[in-house]
Amino acid sequence: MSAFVLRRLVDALAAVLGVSTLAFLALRLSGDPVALLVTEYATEAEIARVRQVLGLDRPLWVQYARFLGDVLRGDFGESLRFIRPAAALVRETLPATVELATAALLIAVVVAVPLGIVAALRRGTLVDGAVTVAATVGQSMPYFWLGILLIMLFAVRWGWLPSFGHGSWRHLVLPAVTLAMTPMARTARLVRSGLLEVLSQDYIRTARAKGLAPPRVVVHHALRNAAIPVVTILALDFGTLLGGAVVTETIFAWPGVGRLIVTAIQSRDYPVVQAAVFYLAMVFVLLHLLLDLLYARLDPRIRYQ
Amino acid sequence: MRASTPASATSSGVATLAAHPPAPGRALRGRRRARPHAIARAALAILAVVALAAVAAPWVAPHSPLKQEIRQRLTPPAWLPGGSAAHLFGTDQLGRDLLSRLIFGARISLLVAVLAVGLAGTVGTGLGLVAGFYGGWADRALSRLADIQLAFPLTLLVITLIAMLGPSLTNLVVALGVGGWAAYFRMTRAQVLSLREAEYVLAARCLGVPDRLIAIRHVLPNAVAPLIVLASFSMAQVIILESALSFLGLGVQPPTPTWGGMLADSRDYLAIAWWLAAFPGLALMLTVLAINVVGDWLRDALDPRLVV
Repeated sequence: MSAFVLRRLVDALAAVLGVSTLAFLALRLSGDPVALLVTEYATEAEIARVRQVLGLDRPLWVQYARFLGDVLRGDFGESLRFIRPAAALVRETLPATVELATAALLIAVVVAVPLGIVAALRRGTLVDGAVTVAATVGQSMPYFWLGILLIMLFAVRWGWLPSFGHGSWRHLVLPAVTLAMTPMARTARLVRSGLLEVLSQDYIRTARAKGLAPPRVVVHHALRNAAIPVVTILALDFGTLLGGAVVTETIFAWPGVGRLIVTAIQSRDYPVVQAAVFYLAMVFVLLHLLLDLLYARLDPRIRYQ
Repeated sequence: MRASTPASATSSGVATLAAHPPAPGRALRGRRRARPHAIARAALAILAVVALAAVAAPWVAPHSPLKQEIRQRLTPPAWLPGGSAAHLFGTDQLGRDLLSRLIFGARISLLVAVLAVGLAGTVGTGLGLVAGFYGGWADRALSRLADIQLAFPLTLLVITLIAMLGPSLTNLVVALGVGGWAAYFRMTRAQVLSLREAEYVLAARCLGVPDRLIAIRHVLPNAVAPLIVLASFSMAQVIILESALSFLGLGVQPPTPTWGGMLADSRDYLAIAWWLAAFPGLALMLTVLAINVVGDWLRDALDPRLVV
């Protein structure tokens, strides 16, 4: 078990290192960073001095080593736009993103799991058909379009909920529902098909044959086993949510990392982009690690070598 | 063992009655099986319309997508009061014809989707074929890379790449292609690993067919079915992702009309011009829905083992 955890940790580190390297290389490849820092009136001597101060005159591998050292200390440099440490900006906005993504995931689970169960238990009925159609449509609907429609109806037309900002639960409703839709649709489909597959297993017939009450069969025997792929997808969805949050936060002016990235990209504030991507990657990689460890608890058949 | 459920009883009955005229039960089953095909046909029809609009945009569109008529700005759709027969879906904030912009927007969505999926599919399948067939250190390195990349959210990866490369059609395709290769790689590799041991591969080898030909002529065609399904679903995903990037201003740049860009513009006019938000979103959803339905159908048709 501990060897497994160790191997996963190495993998996780490799992933984060890979992302950092990508960010480092792309920044160097996409043009001269100095050009972003100096005005167009800067003289050759001034440009050379900036280059020297930033260490950009050193060989690439020296720069890379220094970059890695900085990253290890959580130092991504100063935001070119806010003249503040980029990492601090990300740390300040990260909680709002986690709040939004968590709320969205909760909404998705609370709605989708019961719908998926009902659809599977009533297979072939009108209810099943309605859930399946709704899930297919939900999966195909661009979530940012849903966000716009929600704003149009609930904020602009009826004035029930605020269309932007952060603070009370009322601010959270529209962005969280927007972000929840895609994972909701996918989870409903997955719970349905997973449960249908489990319900056709021999051990379910055994449980029924020995006279267990149907609800007990469903809850104790079927759902527990159908939960494994669902938990996997939900954890992956959390990553998708972090990505989707970039768009959703922009629509609803939600003060999270996603909006920070978009504004940073628009103003070519690369230290902030690097820091934000790095932190999101960390969150995601840690989540995967936790998920792998959770598996063993959900499915005793899984033993890690 | 005797059949325990009515469904399997019917199917064994069908097998024995196969040569005879269809029994009533069989006709019913046949129709129930045919139903998804009708829906899939409708989806294929929608896709055909969208593809045709994209290809023939300059001839199909009633107006130029870029021509501004400021006096006609924010004209509602033709069937509403104040609407004009000249602009079926109304006009935008600069008086540009919405329908024409939708038709030209289909070009970008489909072009990016086809190119990006083509790039990701070709690279991923090619590498997966080589890695699965020959193994070795390259296989181990690529597998590791694919695992790591698949563990990272695609949207974030693509946004990072675009942030570094800068927004343009080419960079969009490159970023989406780089983001997508790993799924094809992993699937092809897994298929090849099992097919490599097949008897017909052994037979080909005994006949002295070179490895390269075995891989391309004998292994690849048998591994292609799940790849087609994967490609169809990822095409839907790419279309949504492309429009999300255009929405953020990180996709194809204005004035080229894109569905995502049109949705972004619509946000300033939600109170007075709902059609600006409604139609691009509807076009996007119908296209993606049609692709997903076709994907579902392909999966069911190509993989009879799936129950649901």
